[in-house]
Amino acid sequence: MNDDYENVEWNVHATSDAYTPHVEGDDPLSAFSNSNGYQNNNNTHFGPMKGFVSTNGHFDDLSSSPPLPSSPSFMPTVMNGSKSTTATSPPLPPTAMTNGIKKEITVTTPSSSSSIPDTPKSSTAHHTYKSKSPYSAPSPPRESFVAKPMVISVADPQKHSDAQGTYITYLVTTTTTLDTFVSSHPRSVRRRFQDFVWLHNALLLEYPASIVPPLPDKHRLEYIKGDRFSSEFIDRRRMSLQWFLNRISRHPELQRSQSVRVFLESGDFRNDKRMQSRKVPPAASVLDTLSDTLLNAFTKIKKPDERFVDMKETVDKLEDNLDTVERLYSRIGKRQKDLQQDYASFSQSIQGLSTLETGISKQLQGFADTTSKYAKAMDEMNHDEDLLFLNDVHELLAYCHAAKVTLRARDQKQVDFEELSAYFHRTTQERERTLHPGRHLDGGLNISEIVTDKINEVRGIDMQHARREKLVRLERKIKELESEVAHANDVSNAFNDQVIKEYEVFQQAKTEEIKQGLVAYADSHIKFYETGVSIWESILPTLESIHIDDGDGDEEEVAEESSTTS
Amino acid sequence: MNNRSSTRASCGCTIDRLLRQEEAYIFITGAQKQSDTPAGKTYIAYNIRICDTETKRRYSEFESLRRALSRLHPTLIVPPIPEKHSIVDYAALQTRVKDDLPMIEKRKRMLQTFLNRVANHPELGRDHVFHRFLESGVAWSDVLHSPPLSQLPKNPLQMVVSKEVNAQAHKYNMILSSNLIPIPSATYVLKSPDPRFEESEKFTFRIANYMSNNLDKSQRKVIRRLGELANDYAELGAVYNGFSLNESGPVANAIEKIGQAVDASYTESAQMVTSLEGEFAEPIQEHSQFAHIVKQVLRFRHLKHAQMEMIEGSLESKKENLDSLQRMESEARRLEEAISRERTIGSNAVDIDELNNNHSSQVDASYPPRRATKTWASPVKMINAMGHSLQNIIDVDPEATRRNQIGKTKDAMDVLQEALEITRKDLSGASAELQTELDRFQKEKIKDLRDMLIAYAKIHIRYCQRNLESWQEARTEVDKISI
Repeated sequence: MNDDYENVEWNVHATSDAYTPHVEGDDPLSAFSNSNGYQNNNNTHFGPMKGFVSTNGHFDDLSSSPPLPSSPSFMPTVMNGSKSTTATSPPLPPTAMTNGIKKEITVTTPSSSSSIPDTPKSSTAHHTYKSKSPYSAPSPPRESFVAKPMVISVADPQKHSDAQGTYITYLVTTTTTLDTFVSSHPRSVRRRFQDFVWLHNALLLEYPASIVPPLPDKHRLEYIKGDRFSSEFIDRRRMSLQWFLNRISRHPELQRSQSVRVFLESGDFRNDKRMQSRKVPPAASVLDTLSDTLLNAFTKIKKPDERFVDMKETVDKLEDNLDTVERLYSRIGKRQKDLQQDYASFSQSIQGLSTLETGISKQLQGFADTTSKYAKAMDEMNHDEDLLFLNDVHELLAYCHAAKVTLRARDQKQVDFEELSAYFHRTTQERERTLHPGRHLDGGLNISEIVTDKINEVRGIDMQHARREKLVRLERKIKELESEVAHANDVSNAFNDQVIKEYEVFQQAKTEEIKQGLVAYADSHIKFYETGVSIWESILPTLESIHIDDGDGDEEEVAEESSTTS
Repeated sequence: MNNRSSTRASCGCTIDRLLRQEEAYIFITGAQKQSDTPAGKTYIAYNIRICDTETKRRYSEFESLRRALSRLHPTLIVPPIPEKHSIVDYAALQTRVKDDLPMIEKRKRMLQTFLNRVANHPELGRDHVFHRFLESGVAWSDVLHSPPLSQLPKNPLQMVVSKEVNAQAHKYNMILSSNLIPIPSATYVLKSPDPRFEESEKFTFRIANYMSNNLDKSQRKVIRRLGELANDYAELGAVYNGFSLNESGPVANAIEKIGQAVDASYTESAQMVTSLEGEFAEPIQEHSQFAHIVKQVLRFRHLKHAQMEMIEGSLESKKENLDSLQRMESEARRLEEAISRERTIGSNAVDIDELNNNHSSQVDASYPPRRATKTWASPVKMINAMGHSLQNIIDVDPEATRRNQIGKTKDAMDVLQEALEITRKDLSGASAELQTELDRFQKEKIKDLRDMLIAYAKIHIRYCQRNLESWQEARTEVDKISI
């Protein structure tokens, strides 16, 4: 596994080196835009960028900061390179996989879909993608971007106590044919929630351009209420963690991640975790990203890329729809619960009537039982609906948020790049102006420049000498910027490609999850109505057995014929 | 024999003949808004049709028919009519109550049930007053102002109700209307209650309470909640529909079908609300009203019984009075004899004690009979007593007065004796009739309950089946999503 990481490092340098000579020519910007159909290139180096943007005009300090090619954001390129090598190993027969896997709420879709050969499947995926975005995207070979069969189950929560307090561990069992794993046999480890959090963070750092599946909410309320060890809470969390791992297992790249492997396989998780954390590039960039985001928060993308705009719109709409369903259901669920209680109390009323109408008490009793059975069936439907469908909606919503975070990160990169390009442009202009003083390239009047010149004149500084020095400085600056911008272009392309692939994975996952949710939704209703039909039908003969005309059975105490009164 | 039994035999009118046909059914075919020309007030007239005979009656006329029937037959359980609009309805809908279509529909259904229940009732269905109600061209106010309704006493206790007694029905009974006959109050506690009726009174009270406080409320809640849920489903269906427009391919189809299933749930829920309303809620309401009517009928019997006991009571006290009057009379006679004997012994000798005794017994003697007739006028008693003392002082001829009173008491006793016989017979007859009526009603109730419960189950079966179909369709469409 270490080889992969070595690979990574090497690739980073190789690519950045390889790209530098590319950037020649008088107007690099136009060169980039020609080489690709669009101009949404991104810069990944936030540190120096800050300086550029904020200190316009004082570029002296800038020259000192060299480009940092090994920033985490650069990883997409790396992954593209390394991935193609691993993805070529043939998939194992899926039957071998599903054997021995506990059928929890495990989604076995990845393994089942693998029975279809890889190529036609990816081509359909490609097709749906095309139909959604009618522009010609530079599509990388998709055959390689397919997840291998991998089934992970989260089960058997257990309570543990140590000096720090009480916590729950879950049994995580993995079955996969991935060659990064030691064997294709099911392998079980115990992990606690904190470990999941570690994995999540590690993936976020390692794959900034990927849609990393979200973790369940922290459920602060449960912490305060103290019922975070209730079986209901634990089971819901277990399901959420299951969702998290399902999504990872379906993701062609995340499933191969070292962190994932360590998480799923390591017998000495505590140490391996530390080792792994060291390998993942330092998390210092978090701070950079934050300040950068703040800095550019109000800067708009100059040339929005239609593809990503469409993506965002699609995700937005999905999110809206899911959100509406969820909100509406918070009301409907309550109403259904109320109705179920109303039926239950109606059943009790009938029960009460059965003690009054003694002649038909048996039948009334039967009717009351039927009604309460019906209420119970309704309760089951509510429960299933909530657990299997609404949870699905909720998880999908969280996934949408994660997708949007990634899309926003991409936008951010584009903004940064655009700022960098603009700065580069300004610097070249500056050089032109210094070379040909008095000529205004853009026809406008640069007041500050004139003022500076005038002040310098007044100070009696040797204009010729100063100009020469400035030119030298500018030339050096432009050289650096050239490589920087070129590099950014490369990175942003990789980022874009990655996001496009990610989006595809997301769409695929979404379809699967929607299907899964709707199946459970429909099934819960079908089951309820089937039960309803059968229980109401079974009471009919009892009710029809009430006979009116034969005198005795039907009447209560006043029934006896009276002949006289005193 | 009497009016009543002749009515019962057959009034022979057209409507009676129509009603006796096989499967005769009374329909309320429609309801129209009408207006009184002078007052300009509008009301709803219901078209009633039996075979080819058609007539129009308004709600207030139904109300007065029901009242008339229950006054004519205090021992019969006259079916209920739908309740008046509550004040809440008026407040909520203000003047539009009369235009409230569901309300009119509900009334139509319930009034139709009422008419048919009356028609199928073994006795009420033969009442000519009821026939007149169905007859076309009969002004209801005319029926109200002609016999037998115009001759009905204010208090049903003043007439004979059972057919056991050979007396004119639906009219003041001369003897029972006499001012000698005590009128019992509702709180009167029977001295020797009939255990069987005590039982059924208790039972009826419990049923009545249970029906209106528990059963009716809980079933209403279910229906109301279903209605609310139906609206939620309508909203949800629309949301899914919109959702499907934002998706594409099989996912869109699946979501659309789910939306259709939810829409179907909406329609079916709304449909179920209507069916339950008509086939379950209304009969339950009706029977809740029935229970209260049974209560009233039983109360009438209770009063009849009380009346009999009170007549017995006053007869008893009259008898005591008569006894004491007669004792006094004989004592007075003995005294006279003694005085006349005394005169022969010594004409000047006057026995003061005897005189005093005579004087006081004179008061005693004249007092009790008065009291007997005025038993219930206690404040008047003192004044009377004073009056009697005065009378005694002035009284020239106490013996004559006493004899007069003895005569009066005897007359009163005769009346009471006759009334007691009538009442006793009437009570026994009424009790027997009421018992039959209760048995009949109990059967009718069980039958209704059976029908209602079956309807309830069937409505639910239908609901579940319909929903099942639409959800299965949706499920098929979901399966088409390929992964």
